[in-house]
Amino acid sequence: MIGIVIVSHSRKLSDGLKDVADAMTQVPIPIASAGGVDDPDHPLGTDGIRVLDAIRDVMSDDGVLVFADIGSAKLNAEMAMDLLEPEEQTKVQFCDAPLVEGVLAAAVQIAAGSSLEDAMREARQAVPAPTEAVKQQQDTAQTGGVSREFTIRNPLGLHARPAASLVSAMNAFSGDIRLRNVTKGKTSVNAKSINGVMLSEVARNDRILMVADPAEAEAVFAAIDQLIQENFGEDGIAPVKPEPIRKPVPQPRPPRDVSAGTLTGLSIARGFALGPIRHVRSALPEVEPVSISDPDAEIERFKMALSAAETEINGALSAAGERISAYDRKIFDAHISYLHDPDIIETVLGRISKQHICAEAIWRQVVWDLSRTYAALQDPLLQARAGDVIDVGLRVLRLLMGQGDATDHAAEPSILAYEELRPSDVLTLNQETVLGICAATGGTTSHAAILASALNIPVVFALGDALAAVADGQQVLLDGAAAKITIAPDASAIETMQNERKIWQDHVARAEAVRDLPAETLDGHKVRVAANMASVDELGVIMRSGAQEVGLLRTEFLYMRRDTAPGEDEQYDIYRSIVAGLKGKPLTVRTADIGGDKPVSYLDRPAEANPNLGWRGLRYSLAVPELFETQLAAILRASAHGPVRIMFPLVSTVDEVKAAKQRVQSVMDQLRTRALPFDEGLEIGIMIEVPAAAEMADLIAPEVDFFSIGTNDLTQYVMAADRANPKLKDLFDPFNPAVLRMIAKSIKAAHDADIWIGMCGAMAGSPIAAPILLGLGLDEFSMTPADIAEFKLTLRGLSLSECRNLSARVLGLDTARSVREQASLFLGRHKAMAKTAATP
Amino acid sequence: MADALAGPKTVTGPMIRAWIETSAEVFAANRGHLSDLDSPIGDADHGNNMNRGFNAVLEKLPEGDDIGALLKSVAMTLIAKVGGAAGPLYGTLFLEGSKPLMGKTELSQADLAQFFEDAIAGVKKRGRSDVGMKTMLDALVPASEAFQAETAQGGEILAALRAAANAAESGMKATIPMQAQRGRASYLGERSIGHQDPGATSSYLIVQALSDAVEKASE
Ligand SMILES: Nc1ncnc2c1ncn2[C@@H]1O[C@H](COP(=O)(O)OP(=O)(O)OP(=O)(O)O)[C@@H](O)[C@H]1O
Ligand SMILES: [Mg+2]
Repeated sequence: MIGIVIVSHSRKLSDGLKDVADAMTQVPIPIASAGGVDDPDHPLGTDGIRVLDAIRDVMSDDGVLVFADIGSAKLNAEMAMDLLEPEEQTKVQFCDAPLVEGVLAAAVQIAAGSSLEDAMREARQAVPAPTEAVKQQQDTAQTGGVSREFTIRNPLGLHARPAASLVSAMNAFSGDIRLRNVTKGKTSVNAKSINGVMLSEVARNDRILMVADPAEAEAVFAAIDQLIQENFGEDGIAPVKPEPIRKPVPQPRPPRDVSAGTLTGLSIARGFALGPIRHVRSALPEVEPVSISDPDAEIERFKMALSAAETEINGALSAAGERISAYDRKIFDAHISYLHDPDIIETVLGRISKQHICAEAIWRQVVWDLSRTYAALQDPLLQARAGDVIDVGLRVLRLLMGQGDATDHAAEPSILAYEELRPSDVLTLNQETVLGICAATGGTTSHAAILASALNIPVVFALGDALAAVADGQQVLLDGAAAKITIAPDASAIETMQNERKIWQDHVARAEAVRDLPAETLDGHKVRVAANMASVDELGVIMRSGAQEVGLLRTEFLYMRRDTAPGEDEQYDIYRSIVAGLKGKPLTVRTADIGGDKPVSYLDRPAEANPNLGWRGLRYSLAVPELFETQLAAILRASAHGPVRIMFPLVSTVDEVKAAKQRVQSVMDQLRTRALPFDEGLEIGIMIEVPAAAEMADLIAPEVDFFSIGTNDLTQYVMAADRANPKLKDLFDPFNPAVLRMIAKSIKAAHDADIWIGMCGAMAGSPIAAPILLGLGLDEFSMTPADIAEFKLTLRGLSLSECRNLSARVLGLDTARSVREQASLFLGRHKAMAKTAATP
Repeated sequence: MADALAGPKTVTGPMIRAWIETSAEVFAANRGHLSDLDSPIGDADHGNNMNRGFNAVLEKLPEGDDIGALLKSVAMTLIAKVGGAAGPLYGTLFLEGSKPLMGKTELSQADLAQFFEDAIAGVKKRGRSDVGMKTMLDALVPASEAFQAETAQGGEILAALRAAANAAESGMKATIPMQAQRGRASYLGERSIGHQDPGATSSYLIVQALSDAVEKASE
């Protein structure tokens, strides 16, 4: 039977609660009381080891629920659970419910034979939260205002830029306006406060309750309606798939002597630079709290600093001119709205007048606390906003302290080193003298990273704390692509770098020159170059990349980070906006590959011991027709607006393909009944990523219009090598002849059946794979947009007939290494040829 | 910038034992002080908690010079005996810190840096906390950073430990103007401003005790 452990500061309380629970249940259930500490003089407290023993006392295969009162009781309960053996841990759950009500509710449930999950849910609900009606009453009572509920529909929710739009609209009104995220059960915040709004974490489809002054409520609500209708200026931008903020990679101990050696981090922008390091101190400095005698004057001084900061930002923005895009400018609009945030300002003013401490110290504290609050949020996008808060904070602090422009970057060209790079730092860079940028921390999704990567200089983040120990003026070599700095490089390292840089620069220039030219070999063979896409945000990049089409739109992002599956209309809107943005270039939409390494909470899928070999891809889609048909309908409807293809992931058998096509047929029938248009001739294809499909490709090909090879999964399954296991790195290599033979077989099957075949795995963009794949006859190469120019450059130096010889040869080789060697040698020869061909 | 001081090149088992004993003495001496600090923003038990914990630590400390084993024993005893939030937090600190040190009878400077880092990572995870929240981390994190910085500049163990203790002390004082965001003190909201955090204070005392113990052993 499921056991219960009661952890309380008081032994009397835990014993007493056990008695009450025992009395309430007909059948005796295992309950252990683990309260108090063994100290007769001071018996209040908790003992982690006692909790551990208690868990083991009531442990059975049915599991254990642990309840705790506050503070250390919770910490000790979690401590004890960590001390359990791993196989014990799987059976124990901490239940975050009010202690007395929770234990009693769970005990009754357990006695009635319910599952651990049900008992836990009942316990959590044991105390009803104040009902919506009560909360609404509180909201309106607070302000004497009128309330109305809205549903936020724009994909990003009330994130930085949309939040800034809302806040600036609300600031046009004079009365109090409150906002409460009803869906997330947040408390009510000041709708004129950017931080209040952002910290409410309003996501798409969340409902918010707005309360406004009766006199202007109608106008306020109309303004909100309008913003919602205009999608908060987002223009159908889909949710960005947030990459987790990467923490600095752990560095080896800071070397004793940081005058030599190398540091490695995260690559933000490639390129090489050689020059002296110049540290730019950008962390929030410590500020001594100084007593002041005239708080009013201090407040005046503070307000002046705020308006000076705004003037500065506007000045820097206009000086930056074309250098930053309209979209990125909005980052700084958000900065300006921090300067107007009533919550922040009131806190600071209040503390100045109460505590009689200088504005600098108070501002620093408020900014720091706020940045920590952001940093502690779940959502990685919001976490990254901590950097923006500090950025604004620093600016105001500098102005308060009467220091001039922080960016006194020496005239001498140098490599700038930051603790953390902030958006403003990028804005004020003097591009003439900045050779490169490195930073000790930072992730790839921060605003600063986005801005810095557009600078055309090498940028590396997350080099670790050791960066601070590199002396000012020290010569370093910065390699953006390798995400590395070499401290005090010797002459040969410098020479190597200079050669590489020269080669790289030439290369970039030559690649740029062919970006928009056709992907055509020297002997006139054309292939299609396509881009892989995983969010609507990438549209601009793709349109500039030289891609002829989108060879793979991953759709998992639509399903992640939300509480319910996306509906047909919502998906249709997104696909349609992509089709429109592509302006006639074909879009290949891959139906959702849910499962495997991409779990989705609301779908209630079973945990699998081996998810990569599990219930995912098309297998799963076929089993949940509703989800599948919704997506098919949305894709089909988008096909009315431009060329669209449907592609199924993780196919293993002919039957699966037939079943999937039947689904498509039935959705088409439904659309006809609904009188909704779609492209009757839309192409349907499958991914070749399971060895079974490659082997059966000749029998699958007649069923479909195209194939696309997914090299990552194909390699992992052919070689039986988990891609996440670093020990299997050599096995997990698509250049293994076994994988190449599978690819060759699929290409032949496709061409025998007169259908085209592409590739959308990582291999497709690899220059050394290009001659092999070309020789094997691949028709379409789909890759990340960043690889396209270079790929075209490679391709345009090759000739199909020679590539055929190469590919025939490598299929007979016995190791991945020798395949790579042959291909590199071949490329080396052809690069020389391409050059001579280019000089008239 | 090498320190001319002829300090030890490694930290030995006996030094760690001396650290633990010094800590126990310090907590006996500061019991009232710590509980006083805990009274305006807590439940006035922190001094008593730490003193009870470290008394028990001394009783249970195993023989031998295996530093990992010594520190693990400290951890398990604190988890059982401290009673307050500091129990699981310091327990985790010593437990996580001890893991890579099992079987070692001598610690290099790099080992010590690693110890600080692992220990702090453990506390952050256990407490779901970070610097700036008015907790022991406000003393511990600057201490670890100062240790690393001094090490990076070529300072030897003792110099690095002194730097760590100084940084812990400043970090402890810096908790005064902070508003607590974790632990009992956070229930007080703004009223927690203006008081020094008891946990940051005990953390400073522990770091200072380490520096003192190593210094004494090398005299
Ligand atoms: N979540 C946390 N993360 C880090 N440190 C914390 C956390 N919670 C409390 N602390 C630290 O613990 C100190 C208080 O320790 P103490 O032993 O007095 O616990 P307590 O608050 O009385 O515990 P209890 O929860 O049992 O009442 C605080 O001063 C603070 O430094
Ligand atoms: Mg206490």
